Amino acid sequence: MTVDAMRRLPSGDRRPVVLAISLLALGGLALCALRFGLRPTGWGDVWRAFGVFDAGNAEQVVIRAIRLPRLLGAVLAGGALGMAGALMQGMTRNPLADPGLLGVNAGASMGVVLCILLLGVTDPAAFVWVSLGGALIASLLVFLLGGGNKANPARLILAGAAVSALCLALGRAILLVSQQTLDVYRFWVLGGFDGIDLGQIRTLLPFFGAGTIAALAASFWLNALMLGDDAARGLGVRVGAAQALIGLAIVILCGATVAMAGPIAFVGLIVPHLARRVAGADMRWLVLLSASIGALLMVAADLLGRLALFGGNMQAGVMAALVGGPILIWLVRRNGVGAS
Amino acid sequence: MTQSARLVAQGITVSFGQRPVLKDLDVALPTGQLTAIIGPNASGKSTLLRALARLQPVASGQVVLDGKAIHRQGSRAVARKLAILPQSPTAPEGLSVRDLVIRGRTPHQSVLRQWSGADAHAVEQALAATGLAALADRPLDALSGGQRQRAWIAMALAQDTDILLLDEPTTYLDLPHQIELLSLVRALNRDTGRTVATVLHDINLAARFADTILAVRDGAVCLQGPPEQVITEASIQQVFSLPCRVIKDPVHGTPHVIPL
Repeated sequence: MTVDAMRRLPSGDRRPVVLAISLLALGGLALCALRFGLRPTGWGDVWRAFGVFDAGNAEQVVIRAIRLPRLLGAVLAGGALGMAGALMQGMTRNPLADPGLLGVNAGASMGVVLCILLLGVTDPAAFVWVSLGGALIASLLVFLLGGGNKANPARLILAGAAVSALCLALGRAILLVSQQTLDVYRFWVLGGFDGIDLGQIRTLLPFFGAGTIAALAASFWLNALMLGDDAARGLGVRVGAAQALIGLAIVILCGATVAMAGPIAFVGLIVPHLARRVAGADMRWLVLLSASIGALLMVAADLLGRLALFGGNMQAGVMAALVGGPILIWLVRRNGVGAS
Repeated sequence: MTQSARLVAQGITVSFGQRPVLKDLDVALPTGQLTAIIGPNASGKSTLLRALARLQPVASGQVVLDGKAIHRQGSRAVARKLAILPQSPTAPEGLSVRDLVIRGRTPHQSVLRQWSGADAHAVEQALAATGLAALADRPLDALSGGQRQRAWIAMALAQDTDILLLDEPTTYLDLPHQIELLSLVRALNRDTGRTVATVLHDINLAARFADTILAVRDGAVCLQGPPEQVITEASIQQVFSLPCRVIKDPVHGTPHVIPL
């Protein structure tokens, strides 16, 4: 009933309402993510963990040292993937574009595989820099193959597909021959927030921050770019510079996410579609709403994954796809996809 | 060219690969007038308009806006003086007329300062001038072809520039809508003294609505002047290789071309 009432308002009025609702829901879900888990804890423990923290209390330590980083990681990853997906779909004018198309995920995976194989690293915390480096190198390669400063979105996607395929094939070949590498990699590639700590988040926070600022700034230019390159130039937008900023925002956001939590599929593809139903054709709202809805979906997926298997702990990346798949089907059936 | 022209092309040459499209072309847009650029297909008329709007890089020569080379001026600063409606712009699905017109304010805004009273005023004025105020909240894809083209012109108007360039704005419109659109364009020129240049296919409509005809053939300007002087049987033969008779339009008094 509330939803129907909201539909009747002009869409300009609905956007702040939906943003506020999604942020409130995120706040509520965040409290649940701190409260519920394998070890039974109460609301009082959550309250005390942040009010009068007692380092000797196991419940409070679990909340602060395990559940909090996990929650922050999910918020950052979901928000970043949502924004990156919105930018990617806007820049390519392709509603099926996924931020991974620029080769970021494949590059990060390659970096991790090589790191395990050559350096024998098994500590997930060390993957942060190699996967970030791999993501940046792969996207640079995609940019150069896509024509350098003559690149256009269609060529970039083709180059991205080629680089991704190459990285994945090489990575698989290595994994086939090295069982030891596979054991470590298998865990990382599922995508999730296990074993994440505040230090990792602190390391990556500047990347998420810079990526978010770039994304919000780019969304303003993207509004003009959506009218076609000529029209955007006529409006005084420097098209090449704007596209470079958008590409940079996508690479930073995805690179930081994959470095933190491994490749997480689907969120970047599906969240902009949900947001677009409310945001309409305004990219500024689309990016904002994609950030909040993405964070919401990711936290929900992580929480569900932790609770559903009674301690079995399903990876958030797997859970996001399990939850996201039916949502995408529902959207397609309601003719929501393609309304870019 | 009697008044000092603000937008001038000085010896510009444009090539697509090996093929030269504009060859050492000189032209000045008469300030405050409505200029129609005509010429056969592939004559370079759209390229000329795009070059004047700095959408088309020139190989040699330069386009000068207000006494300064246009490519030396910031794109945003140029966009506050000169608006262009390209030939086939695209709009994202579901975009409303008002949201489209608002995008015309882009050169007056920045990432940090995205909306002002001047923006709101310019948008409402542009909607009113194009008769779209009642349709402002409708999605663009729900409008007729003529209304949609008016919405694009409203976007260019909201840009609030002294110079307005239109690339074949009447394409895909039926005759009544072509007349309606050109009447609107002429009113915009007359009411505000805006300098307008538009590429047109129809010689007779160009003769009826424009103050100045600019005829392009093979990448060079071959005629420029008022329709009464410029449109003759000999000149149409020269520009379009079309044998014709030219009579005086019995209603408007402008030259009327009848192909033989």
